[in-house]
Amino acid sequence: MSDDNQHDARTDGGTGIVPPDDDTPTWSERKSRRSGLPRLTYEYFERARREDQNLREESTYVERDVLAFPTWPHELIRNLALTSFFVGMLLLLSATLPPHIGNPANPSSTPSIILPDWYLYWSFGLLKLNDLNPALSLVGGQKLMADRTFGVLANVVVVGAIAMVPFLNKGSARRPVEQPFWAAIGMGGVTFALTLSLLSIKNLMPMDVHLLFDLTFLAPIVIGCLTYAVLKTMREGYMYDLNRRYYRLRPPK
Amino acid sequence: MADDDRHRNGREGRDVEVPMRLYKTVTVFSTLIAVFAVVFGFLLLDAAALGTGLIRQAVRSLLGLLSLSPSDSLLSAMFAVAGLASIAVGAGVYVLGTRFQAAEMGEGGD
Amino acid sequence: MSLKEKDEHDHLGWMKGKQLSPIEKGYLFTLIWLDKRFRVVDYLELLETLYYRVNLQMPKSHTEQYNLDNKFWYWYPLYALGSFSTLAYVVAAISGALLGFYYTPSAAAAADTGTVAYSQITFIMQDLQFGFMLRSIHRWSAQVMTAAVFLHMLRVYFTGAYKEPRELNWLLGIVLISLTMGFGYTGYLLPWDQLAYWAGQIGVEMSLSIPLIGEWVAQLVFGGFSLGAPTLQRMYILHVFLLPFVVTTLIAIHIAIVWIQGIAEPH
Repeated sequence: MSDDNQHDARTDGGTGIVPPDDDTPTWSERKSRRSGLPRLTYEYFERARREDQNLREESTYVERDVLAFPTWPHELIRNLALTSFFVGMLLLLSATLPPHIGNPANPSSTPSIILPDWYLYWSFGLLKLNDLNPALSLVGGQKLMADRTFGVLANVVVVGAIAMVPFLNKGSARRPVEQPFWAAIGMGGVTFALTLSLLSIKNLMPMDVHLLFDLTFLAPIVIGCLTYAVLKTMREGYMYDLNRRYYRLRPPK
Repeated sequence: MADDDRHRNGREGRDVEVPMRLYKTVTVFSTLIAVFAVVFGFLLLDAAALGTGLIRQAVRSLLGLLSLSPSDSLLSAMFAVAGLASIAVGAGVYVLGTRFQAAEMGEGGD
Repeated sequence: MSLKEKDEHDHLGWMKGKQLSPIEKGYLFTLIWLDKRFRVVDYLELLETLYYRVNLQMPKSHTEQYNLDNKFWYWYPLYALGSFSTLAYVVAAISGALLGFYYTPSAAAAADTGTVAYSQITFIMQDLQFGFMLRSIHRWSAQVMTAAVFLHMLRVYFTGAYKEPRELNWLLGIVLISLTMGFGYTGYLLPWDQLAYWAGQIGVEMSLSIPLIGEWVAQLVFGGFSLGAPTLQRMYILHVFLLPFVVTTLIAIHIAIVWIQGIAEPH
């Protein structure tokens, strides 16, 4: 091709759209081989992007102190595509995997397996922690409370602990690498929810029940420690590279 | 370049350069027509498969006015053919629309 | 957007000067004919203009403001989980209202098998046009909403979005996730099949084991210590009357707070 065209490739075929960076292969260079509607669409977006970029560079419109991202229009417009896809997925799921209905309720025949919906498994699992119910020797080896009460109390404790999180974890750290401890707690919590769910369906699990019970408590701790170690290791280089400029503006407390 | 011998004057087929406004007309209306034709084609296919659809009953009563009563299998076959034809027409309209391009859009390569 | 007629391009004159095959000529002629009668393109051009106008005053995003290296926050898809759960809630509400036209919360014995409630569900699934799909949509949107709410909570936790000005919304979120599970539970009981009945039994036992107020709670929520017609009636009212009002209000407040405070950014 001629020199003229070589020059044009960078300036987007004479439409006046200049790629943001000379070094990297830009979207325009990738797209310039195409024709028809994709090409036009590309030009629309590129033009919008360029106008937008220029305006932003000139603008003093928002210099925010609060670290937040505008819900409207940024977040909602970006969500639009994802959510419409999501509704499609929902309908597809409904069409391909319709629910069944079991036998009618019969109080006189207890089924061998009683289960709530999956999202209540963790809570159901908390009802099966009878072995942890403290037995006090003072009252003659009797348990302090009924096993059922203990299970309900465990639920209250878990939900309460989650509710306390924002009051315990303060400071400006946001990413998991910035706060390995809390990320580890979180990973441990997620694992605990999973293992509890497995515990709640223990009669369906092809596994020794006692082993399952022990794993329910060991696995979260192991995962938590692993997370902590990994994040601690990642932390220094990651934060230096990625957030150099950011922390110059807003040094971590 | 593979696309260097692309013709812009029309006769040979692939690309016809048209004014921008006409390009928009072509794109919008060919897409609309194609969508309607394809959807309608699927409706006809549905009518061919489902014995009790609205379209099928309408057509049957229409034929009844002309004192015709085709057999179920014949009606199904006709619906199926009409449906496939409609889908093909939609595709054809769309494909034909893609050869019209506005200025500076057709040049491939760098 | 003026009412003044725009300069019309002389399409037909242009076509004369161009070498076109008969098919192309006919094609263009038809489309131009349509275009002159249905001014769709004009409206789309209005939209195009609007598109550029709304683009003018977008505030700087986080990465632009701090000129960060990564222009795309790769956890971003997880930020849509809140929208997902809201949307699934809306879908569930619409399909649920339609299901409500046909469902009867009656534990009386039905003519054929089971209770009236159960036979209504089988009617919806077997005889009602689109009823099978309707129940499927309702169930799946409920499942997906619960899943999305759980994942939403994890996202908020791991990006530290519950921090300083947003503690209240975190607490509100915990209330909402509990109510969502309540929604799921009450809905799970409504078909009144074996699963529902025995899940209800667990619920009664759980509420009975609450210290001090257990019996009172069981009476209030389940209408007694064993399951029966009152239980089904109460679950129905909770599911279609009480919870929708409460949850819709709380979701509105939850989103309003997010709107006012902005999306917490992950740095």
